[in-house]
Amino acid sequence: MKNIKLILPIVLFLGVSVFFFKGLFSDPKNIENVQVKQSFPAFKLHDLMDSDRYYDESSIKGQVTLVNLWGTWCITCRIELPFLTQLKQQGVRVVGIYYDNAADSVFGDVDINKTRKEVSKMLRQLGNPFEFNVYDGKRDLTLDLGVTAAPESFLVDADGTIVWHRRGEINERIWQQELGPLYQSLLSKVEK
Amino acid sequence: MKKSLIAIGMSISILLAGNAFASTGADTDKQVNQQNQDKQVLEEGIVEHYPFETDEQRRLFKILTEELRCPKCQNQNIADSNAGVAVDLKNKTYQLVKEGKSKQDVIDYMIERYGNFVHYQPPFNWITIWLWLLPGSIVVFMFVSLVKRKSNQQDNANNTSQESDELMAQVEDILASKPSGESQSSGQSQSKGKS
Repeated sequence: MKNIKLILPIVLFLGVSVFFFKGLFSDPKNIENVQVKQSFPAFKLHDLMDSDRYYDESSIKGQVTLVNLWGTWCITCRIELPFLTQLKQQGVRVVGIYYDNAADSVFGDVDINKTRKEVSKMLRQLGNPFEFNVYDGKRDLTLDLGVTAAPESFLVDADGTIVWHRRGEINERIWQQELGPLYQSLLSKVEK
Repeated sequence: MKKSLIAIGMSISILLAGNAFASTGADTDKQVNQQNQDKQVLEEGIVEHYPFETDEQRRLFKILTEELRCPKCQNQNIADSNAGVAVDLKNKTYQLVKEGKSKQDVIDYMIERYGNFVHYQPPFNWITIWLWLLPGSIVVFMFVSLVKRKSNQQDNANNTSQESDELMAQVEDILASKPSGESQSSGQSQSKGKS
């Protein structure tokens, strides 16, 4: 009984210390995306450059695909475009979901022709990694994916299941440490 | 036991009195005024940007935007935040409320996409149950240990009085057995009593 009285406060103190110590290094912004391990949400959206060509969730299935959410208004997207282009040259399939800045679309519909001009200019300058871009004008797909800001990326396997998600840009380090190995393992699964 | 109950009752009443006193302070009056003004501005903004046909829907929209949490900015609800995603969620909430969805429908829609983080009211499950259990169990633990300590002290007090009774009896025995030479015997009994 006396032992418990001595040990209990020490154990409690250590437990609380470990809890707070871990808190020092935890990132409060790193909120897990709930779509990971779910199948890619259903959608039907037209091509960014061609309003008559439509895509849906089956357009993403069939190959391991990196889905990237971006916009010309997003500065970090500008930074990651060259690296994504590099990945495309290595054979990675990249599909873009383009969405307007919420602040812009508050003032009514954004002029898509202006957007198209900006997009083609930016892709000419920095490289075009995208097989195609869908235009999420109403941002329903963006919401369905639980996106909080641009850029965000999802790795989708050949069955159309989201296996990985990242907030922020994809760069050399992320590719080497996380995304690359995962991509290779998914590829080898497909080949089997 | 009675004393401890009285002490708990006193501390609660002091806390309540303190609160009442604080809320009558002039500074907090200003704050409350400011808050009310802010609220008014916010409400006018809601009426202007998000027109509703019925008051009920307007009220529901207001409640929802105050209860839903912006997934980008850490501790703001979507009514207060102007982050892109908060604007999106506000617009979505507006659309869903206008469609006649219930409060729970909208919350479910958001949680399905943004997880439990998006709602300020945490769900009740086996992980979050500690949020309710822990404070309760701490209060129970403190109360139990307080009562235990009190009864221990009483036990100790009884024990010491018993011991001293026995010692007094011994002293009286010794005094009774050696009646000759008063000054000597009293000195002896004192030294024995001490040992």
